[in-house]
Amino acid sequence: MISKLFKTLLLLVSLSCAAIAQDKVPNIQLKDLSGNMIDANLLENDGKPMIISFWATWCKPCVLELNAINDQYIDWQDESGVKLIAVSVDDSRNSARVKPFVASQGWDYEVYLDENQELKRALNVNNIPHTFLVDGNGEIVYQHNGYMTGDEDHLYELIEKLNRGEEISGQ
Amino acid sequence: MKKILFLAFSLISVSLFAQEKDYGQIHGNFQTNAQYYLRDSIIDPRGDAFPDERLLAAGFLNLNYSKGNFMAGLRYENYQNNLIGLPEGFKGEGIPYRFIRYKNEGFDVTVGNYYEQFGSGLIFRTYEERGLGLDNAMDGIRLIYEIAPGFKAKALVGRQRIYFETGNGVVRGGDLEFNLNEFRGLASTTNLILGAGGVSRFEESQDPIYNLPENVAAASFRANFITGDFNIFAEYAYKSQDPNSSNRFIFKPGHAIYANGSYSKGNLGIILGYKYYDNFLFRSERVGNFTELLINYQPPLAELHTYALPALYSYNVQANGETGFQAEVAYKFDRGTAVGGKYGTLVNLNFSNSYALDKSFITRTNFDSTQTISGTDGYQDWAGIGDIQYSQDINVEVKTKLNKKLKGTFSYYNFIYNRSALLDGVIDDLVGDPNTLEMVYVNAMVAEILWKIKSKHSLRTEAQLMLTEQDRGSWALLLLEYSVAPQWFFAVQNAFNYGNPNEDLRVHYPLVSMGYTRGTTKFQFNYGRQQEGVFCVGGICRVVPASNGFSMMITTNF
Repeated sequence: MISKLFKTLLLLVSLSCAAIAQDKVPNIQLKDLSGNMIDANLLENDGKPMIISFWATWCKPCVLELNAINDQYIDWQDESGVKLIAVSVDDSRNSARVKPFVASQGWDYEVYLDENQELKRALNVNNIPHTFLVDGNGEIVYQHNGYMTGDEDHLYELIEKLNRGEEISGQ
Repeated sequence: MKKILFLAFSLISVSLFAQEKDYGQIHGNFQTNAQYYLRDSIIDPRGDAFPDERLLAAGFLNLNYSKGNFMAGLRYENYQNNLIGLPEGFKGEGIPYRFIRYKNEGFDVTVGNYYEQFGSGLIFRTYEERGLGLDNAMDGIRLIYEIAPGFKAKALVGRQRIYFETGNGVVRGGDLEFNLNEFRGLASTTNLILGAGGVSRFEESQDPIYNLPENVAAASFRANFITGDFNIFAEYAYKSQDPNSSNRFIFKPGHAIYANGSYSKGNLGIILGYKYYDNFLFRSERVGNFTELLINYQPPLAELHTYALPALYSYNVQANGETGFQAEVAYKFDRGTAVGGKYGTLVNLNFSNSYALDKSFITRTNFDSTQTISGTDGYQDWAGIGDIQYSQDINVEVKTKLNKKLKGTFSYYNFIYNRSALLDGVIDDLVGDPNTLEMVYVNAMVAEILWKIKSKHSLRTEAQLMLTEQDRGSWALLLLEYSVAPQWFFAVQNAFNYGNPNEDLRVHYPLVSMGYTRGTTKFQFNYGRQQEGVFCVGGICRVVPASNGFSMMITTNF
């Protein structure tokens, strides 16, 4: 029994090692606010880190998080070159609200629609807000679910570490 | 022998990994909810919401594998048994969701389960909303093909999920979309997108009374015009005769219009919306309950409220027809202006309403000599706005930063809510005099203050007050939430139904919760009373009964 369990574990570990080697954003189409289609796996930031944040207009903690980051976004961009991509999972009830909403919030983010939550599902996001950090090679190196005030400070510490070439997995 | 084989296999896999061969990636997530129920004779005197088993638990695990253009996945679900308030059909365990998908050169094929949407979903949308217990995933085949740049075609066939089975109705659909920017091969802020789709459902009929159509078809046309500042979208949909349990077996075709226009520039956002849904509920079986086997989605066009008290009066779309408007203006006053103050102030005004249609009913004499609309055309095509009001929602939200450490959100709500229709399910056909309907008039206020005490430590407070003379009377709620990012939170909440017309029900609903996050795993524990309420996502609501007990949620991603 124990040896069977051990074998299964070993198998899983070897499989997941193989899996960890490649951690990219999947090939799913998103729509920008002008209706242009873009493949999510082609999102990039010139070799600099990139934040992908899943949100919706009705999700208060999501909006809180994006506002908190927006307050510091100019400094973040200057210092680290990071870019934030805000993926809205609003369905057709609210997707028309996204563009005016973003304008009135004054966000400088790249915003995309994931109307039937295909990318959300492909990235195994249970609940929003859910934030991914992607390194300069396009690999997902960190993810975080939920938002509490101050999470953005932690996220920025990780971005700085990435830029210094430090390992951040497991944090 | 087995051992040797196994060792060889793991060695090969490890050594291949060392060579950095691409084996693809496996990812997934896991969630489980459990609740231990306590008998509470004050909030639930008859024990209606007290289960026979003390502990209920439900959970699921998603696994996704992807390698290059190839994707596959499955979901294991387990309900032992499902939590109170969620559909009881989810019982037991199984793998109700699995798929294989391959994409290459503009060709995309999925076999197994899939979620899909045509346009705004008026004729077709399959999706999953765990909180509601809604999952109408298709089980079949889907093809997506880019015929030429800018022309995308979708074709699908299958049957829909109902709990751990698939429904009897066969659903077939196709959709074609033209995207001007894709066609011209440029990314521009001006764009035109045109689309047309069709869906048909086949279900056998052996009805002894009616000659029910076995094939029911729906079609829609949509257009979306976008310039830098303006965005105009409109969709019209038609459905052929579809006598079913929701429309009381009338033979009238259905119509639906969903349109909105928005303007966004600088700090200003304006949006106007219009809906007209006439006999447009579409299921893959004629007889179905609430969230079962829905083929389409009718956007409710009403703001989704998330503060606990205003959310008690959320809007849900009426299956047998409705029409309404929405208007919203949002503006951010810049910092340094009179309203903007030192940091800027965001003001948001929202208005929406919904009415029943003005139906002139066509009736016939039933075998028991009563009058019925079943078996007739029901009422005239293109009915206007009726006398029965379903809802009106006016709300204002002001968001501002008070100083370096304090942020505030203040909102006011004014609702007219047709309790008979929206909560008790009284349908308009059966209402002789609209004055007999129970209307609830609500004024509510919420103040939310966020205090950033020091780096990573913060306190969030919500004070909510909801005033009404009707229904369950007035409520007050206070919430304090202390969080230490990125790992801990502690919250205490008390809701007090001080204005309940029944003095025995003027009770407190205290609730304490705690959450802990480690890596991608999140634990949350709650203990206390939960008020009876309505939980809504996307205009579909379910009633959550009052409960008392201890609950736990664990979610993780890998």
